[in-house]
Amino acid sequence: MSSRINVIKVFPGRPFQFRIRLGSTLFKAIVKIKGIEYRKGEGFVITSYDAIPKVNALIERFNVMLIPYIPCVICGKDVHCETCEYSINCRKDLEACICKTCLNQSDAWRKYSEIQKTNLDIK
Amino acid sequence: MDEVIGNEDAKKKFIEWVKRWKKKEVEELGILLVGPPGIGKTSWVHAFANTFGYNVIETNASDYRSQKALEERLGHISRSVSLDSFFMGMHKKEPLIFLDEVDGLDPKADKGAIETVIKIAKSSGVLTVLAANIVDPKRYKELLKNFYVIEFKPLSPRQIELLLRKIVYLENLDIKDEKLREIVLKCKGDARAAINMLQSVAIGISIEAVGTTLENLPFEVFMKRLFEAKTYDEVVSLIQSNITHLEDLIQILWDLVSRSGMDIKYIADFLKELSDIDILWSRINRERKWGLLRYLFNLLPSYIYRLKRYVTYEEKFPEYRFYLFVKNRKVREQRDEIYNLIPRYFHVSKRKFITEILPYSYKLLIGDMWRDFREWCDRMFG
Repeated sequence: MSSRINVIKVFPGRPFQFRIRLGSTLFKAIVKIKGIEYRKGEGFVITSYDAIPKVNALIERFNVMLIPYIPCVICGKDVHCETCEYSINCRKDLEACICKTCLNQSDAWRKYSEIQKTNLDIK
Repeated sequence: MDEVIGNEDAKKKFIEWVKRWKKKEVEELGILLVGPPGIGKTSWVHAFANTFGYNVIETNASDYRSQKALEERLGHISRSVSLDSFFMGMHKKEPLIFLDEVDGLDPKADKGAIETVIKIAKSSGVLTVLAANIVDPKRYKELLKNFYVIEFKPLSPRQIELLLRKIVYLENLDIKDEKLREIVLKCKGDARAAINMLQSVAIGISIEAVGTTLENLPFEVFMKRLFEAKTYDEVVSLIQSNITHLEDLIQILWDLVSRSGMDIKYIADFLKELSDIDILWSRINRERKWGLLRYLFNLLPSYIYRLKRYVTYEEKFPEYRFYLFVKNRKVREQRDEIYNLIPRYFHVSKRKFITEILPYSYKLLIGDMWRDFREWCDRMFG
């Protein structure tokens, strides 16, 4: 039997499906967790990233894992929270962060400033 | 403006709102920025004003912000140009009223301030921005109704690391990445705290000392650390981070000096200096002149640093002070009864007894004098 884990990237505030049959007991247990809610016809929505480890503990036996998706301010790619050195100390309910690759570049700040100028429409 | 890190969405909302406000497409009177300290609310407003050509007229917790004071300061803004701004060429810029630390408005001293701000924002047509750490929905109902609320969140650890790396590069500091990471972990999303920590580390204070001093310590721990501090800077940062203990600190210093057993000349000198510090602290509190704190932050640490050469801290409250703070009702009643009687025995007022006699005669009081006092009580009251 394969033990491959199915990773579900979760966007804050956006509905997602577990793609497994949860069953009523597990469904009720997940809905009771603070920071996750179920919207009829849409699916589950993560409102607080604190809920993710709790949900992961419940769905572990199905080889499914929730991982938050946070875009990098500079390159726009996923920052990969799961590998971040600050993962334990971070609140994770961020709109954006900075990925490791961009952070380690020598001109990271200059790039950040330029992106800011474009985003905020400053001439 | 592009150099204020973090809260990208909030900043975008801010600019979009201002654009709509200029076109008179919004109902709100101004913007209310809400978020914990040290995440760039004030810096953002100043950066925004610089970029878009606004002249910031700011009031913060260190100013009087009563109805009258605000009307005097801000009421004329829409109608005239001050001489200062005229000569500095600022009259060409549009004004921006910025009321920082709105949640710090004193209900008594700053009475009517919120109503005045709303009135000025309504009548002047000037861009008005307020900032607060926490907004109580009940107390600030009117503000929430009239102002567009934008939430600023603490920065992510990597955003703070980027900021610190930039400072390290610009200031040409020799600080390793591991130390930067330690600072990032300790500052908990507060960029101001991170910069302060970086500054302390750059001048040689160990990161452990910096980390511990930044917290609001319990009074006894604060006193212990203060007297154990090895450097002057450590004493400074301890005092700066524990302002709530200053009242008690001055009291304890007075106790320490007056009961130190030093030469009377030294005691007189130390008490004189302490009285100056006490007067300054009272003035800061009474007149709410927080700008004077910078003098206190120089005077008090140097005082303690010198005092440490002559006096050791016993790591406990002087016993008589302990009895002043007793919380048990029964003991408190007994204490009050005795405090009402003993001053009569000494022919002085209760206040004078507590401040001038008790500290020096406490040990006598619980010894022989206590027996004499009880005999006197028997004679007087039976």
